[in-house]
Amino acid sequence: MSTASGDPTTGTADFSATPLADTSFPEEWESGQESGQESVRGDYGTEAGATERVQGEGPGRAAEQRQAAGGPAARAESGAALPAHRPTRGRYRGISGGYELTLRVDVDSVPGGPKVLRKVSGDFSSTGGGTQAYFGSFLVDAPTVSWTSTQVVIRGIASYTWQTAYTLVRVTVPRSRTNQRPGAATVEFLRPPNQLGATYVCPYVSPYFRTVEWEQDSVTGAVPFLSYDTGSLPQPANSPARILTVPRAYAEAGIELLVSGTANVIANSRNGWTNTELHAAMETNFSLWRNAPQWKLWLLVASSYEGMAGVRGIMFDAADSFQRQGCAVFYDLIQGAGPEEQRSMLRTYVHEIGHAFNLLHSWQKNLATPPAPLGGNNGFADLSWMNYPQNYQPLNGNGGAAAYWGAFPFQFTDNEQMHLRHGFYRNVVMGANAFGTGAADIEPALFDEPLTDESGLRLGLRADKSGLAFGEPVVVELKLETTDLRGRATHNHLHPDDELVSIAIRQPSGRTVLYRPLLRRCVDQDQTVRLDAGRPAIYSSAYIGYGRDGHYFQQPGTYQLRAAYLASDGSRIVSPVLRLDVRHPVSQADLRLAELMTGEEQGKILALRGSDSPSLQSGNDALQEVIERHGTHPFAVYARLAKGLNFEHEFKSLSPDKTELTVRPPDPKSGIEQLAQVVKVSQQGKGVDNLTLNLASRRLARAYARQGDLEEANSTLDRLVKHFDTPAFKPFVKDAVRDQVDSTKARLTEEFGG
Amino acid sequence: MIDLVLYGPSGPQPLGRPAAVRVELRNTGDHDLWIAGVLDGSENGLRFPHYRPTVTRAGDGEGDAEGEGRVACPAEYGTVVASPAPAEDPLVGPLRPSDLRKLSPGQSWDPSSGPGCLPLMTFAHFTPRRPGRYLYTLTLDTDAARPEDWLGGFGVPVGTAREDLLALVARVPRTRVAADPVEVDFR
Repeated sequence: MSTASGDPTTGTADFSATPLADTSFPEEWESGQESGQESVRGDYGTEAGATERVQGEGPGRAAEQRQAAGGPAARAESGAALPAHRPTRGRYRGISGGYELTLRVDVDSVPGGPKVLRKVSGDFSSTGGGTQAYFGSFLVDAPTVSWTSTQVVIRGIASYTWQTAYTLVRVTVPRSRTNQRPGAATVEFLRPPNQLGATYVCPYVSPYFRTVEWEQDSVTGAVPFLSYDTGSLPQPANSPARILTVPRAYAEAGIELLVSGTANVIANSRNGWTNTELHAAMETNFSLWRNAPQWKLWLLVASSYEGMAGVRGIMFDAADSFQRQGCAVFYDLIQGAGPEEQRSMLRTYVHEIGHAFNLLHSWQKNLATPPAPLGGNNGFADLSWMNYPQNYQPLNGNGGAAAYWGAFPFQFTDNEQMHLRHGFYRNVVMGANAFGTGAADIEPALFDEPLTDESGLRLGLRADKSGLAFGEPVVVELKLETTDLRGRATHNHLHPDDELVSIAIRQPSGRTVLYRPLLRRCVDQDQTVRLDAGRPAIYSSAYIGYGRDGHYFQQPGTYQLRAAYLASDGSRIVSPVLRLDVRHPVSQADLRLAELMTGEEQGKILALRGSDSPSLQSGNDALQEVIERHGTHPFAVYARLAKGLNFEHEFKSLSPDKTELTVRPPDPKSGIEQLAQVVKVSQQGKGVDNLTLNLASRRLARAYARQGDLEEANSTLDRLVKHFDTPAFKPFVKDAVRDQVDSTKARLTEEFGG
Repeated sequence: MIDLVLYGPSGPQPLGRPAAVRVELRNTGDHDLWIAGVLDGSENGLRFPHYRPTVTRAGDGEGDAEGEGRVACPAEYGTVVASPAPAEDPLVGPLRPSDLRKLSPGQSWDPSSGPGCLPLMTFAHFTPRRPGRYLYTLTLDTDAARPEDWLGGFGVPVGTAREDLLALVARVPRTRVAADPVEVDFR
């Protein structure tokens, strides 16, 4: 822990943010250093501006002051075209109050550059005398980013490895041109809503998020891999032909592998190498080795692995107190000059080094401590350096090595890149956490309740019932309400299919997964709603039983759910924990019904609210069986809902060669047949939740109107109003339903009344 | 006490697509049976239990599969055309208590699906190029020389947790069971 006292985010020790001396810069930046005295006013944003006024001449103005004192800015010479803006992406470092902050900004890139993950993260170390010790890390998972011509302001709520009240992070980076040296980032930590804590001015260090010194030795007779031209063999269209070395493969993920040390050639072991021998060789030959966390790793190009055929490589340092410092590849098996061998060799090197960064195999992510979600097909569908080609199983079509190489774009998955770039320090750095510990792509702590919450908003998560039958579709209701009598404005995207709402599910096994919708909707945060006394809450209901990872509630037991809503002002509102019990099936009939509801295709159909897709035919058949043979069972209402909503709407299909579009017109008669039942049993309290009932009723009315029966359409809507017109519902809810019904009637009359 | 059964598709199967071959493990004894399904490393023999599948082509011995090498096979069926690929590295995941499952007498279960279980990649990816009859076989081996051979390659618990896990492993009967081969006709 820290050698300095206190908390690096509070700023209690020292506000005089002292920049470190800049590290060396490429020559092309030097020409821009003397230029640019352009005064930067910048649209700092109204809220940030207010903070500055409160703080007077305090650190809130640090970014401006630094720039006014000669920081980088563009000089607009008349008639001369200005060079393009340099991305802010990369690593920065600064000192304040006895702490050093290494900052990583990941909100922009260059064409063809590393993918933007839209994160800001950092590591603190305490500095005292001549020593430095790691203190803690933070991550802003989903910041808001605002751009002006002169600066980028990034702000959001951070999660930390320790507890602090200064959860709001604001990073200001001046924008510089490509012929100028990059400007320093100013990092401010605030206690919400705007009490300023520590400020760090962090000069730019590198375009890479992390830098690792990589030393490689080989045994006598082994020839280390150099490079592979990805255009040598067929590759997917999204993977441009390029020369990949091992460092280049990591550079594409934003990580710098700096070749260092002396490349020794060491005596071979004819019988192959054991883990113990490899470890001993590392201690002897790795010139940078010491038993401590450090950004240094060793790779040995050895001959073969003793006692186990077929092993191409190993991260052998997985047993002592300072793991993940070394790995090996086995030349006897992987050697070859042909393009296929060279391609496989590259993959083996990158793969084993990936383990040293604490990346698990694609199908093992759920075995991490804490567990992480698996990708598609239990991770086997991941197109990643960390998958095995022979294990690759795409979501559709044949799998295996040929399919992998036909689709692999030579990259890590987004979650893996997130870990490499922004994972908390001890989870990533070699020699710190044990292999598999902290290798999770999500931290359940992200869903911890904030220490303080002055957002003026409250998030609720509930289900109609706390006990569910095995196989029953899981539907939850989200409620966002204001706790501020003056009212609050925020965006109105409350569905977990929107990118601003997340739901974490802790399964009975203890594994925590993130609900990942089949289709993620990008939303416009500018559409806001005001929550006040007149309309204190908004609601949403969502089916979360099935998503990109398959079925989430596949075993009986107790599940704990928690939702997080990212508000327009960057506040993260976390719901209380909702507990759901999935009961054991008690009869063969229960089991059969659960089987009919929980197939992969049925999950997709329920998540998509119905589909005609031929690839989901057997799922539709299963749901039809539920309706026909178990029509009075509570599950039937969900099957009817999916089918009814689908019938009521047209369905477009592309021919297999994608040249012809077929439109199946709406089938109001079949829609009415199904939806009328859904509405009937739900109004009796034996079907879907009230929000879904509202949707089903309006779609039923639409089906009647489409069939020419406007009278029945209006009656259906009137019954909906009547259903909500009881003391059980608050007046603003009744008003909202009434307004919705009135506008639906008007629209149906306009569309079908003529 | 343990019955291992393979179920193949009925009728001829199209070339170029894997056949849906299902596995069932049944407790045929009078007592509860503790067993684990296909775990990380089970199929390629890196850890126990071993579930070792093979596909053999009956006939002239010239059969081959997309992306699979041929292996000479002394068996009377012909040539082994698909068997587990070796692991690239030995970092197999840890055994967890929930991986060990209790089957009541008469109860059956698919050890290659469900929570914690992996599919048998040999069957899932075998796509024959030539028509003919192919035999699918599977053996289950729980007879580890050391109980530690069940624990995995990383994240292995220590202390009491390790002892508890080994106590669970000790409940698994030491045995080797082969399923009756299933023949699939590809045309």
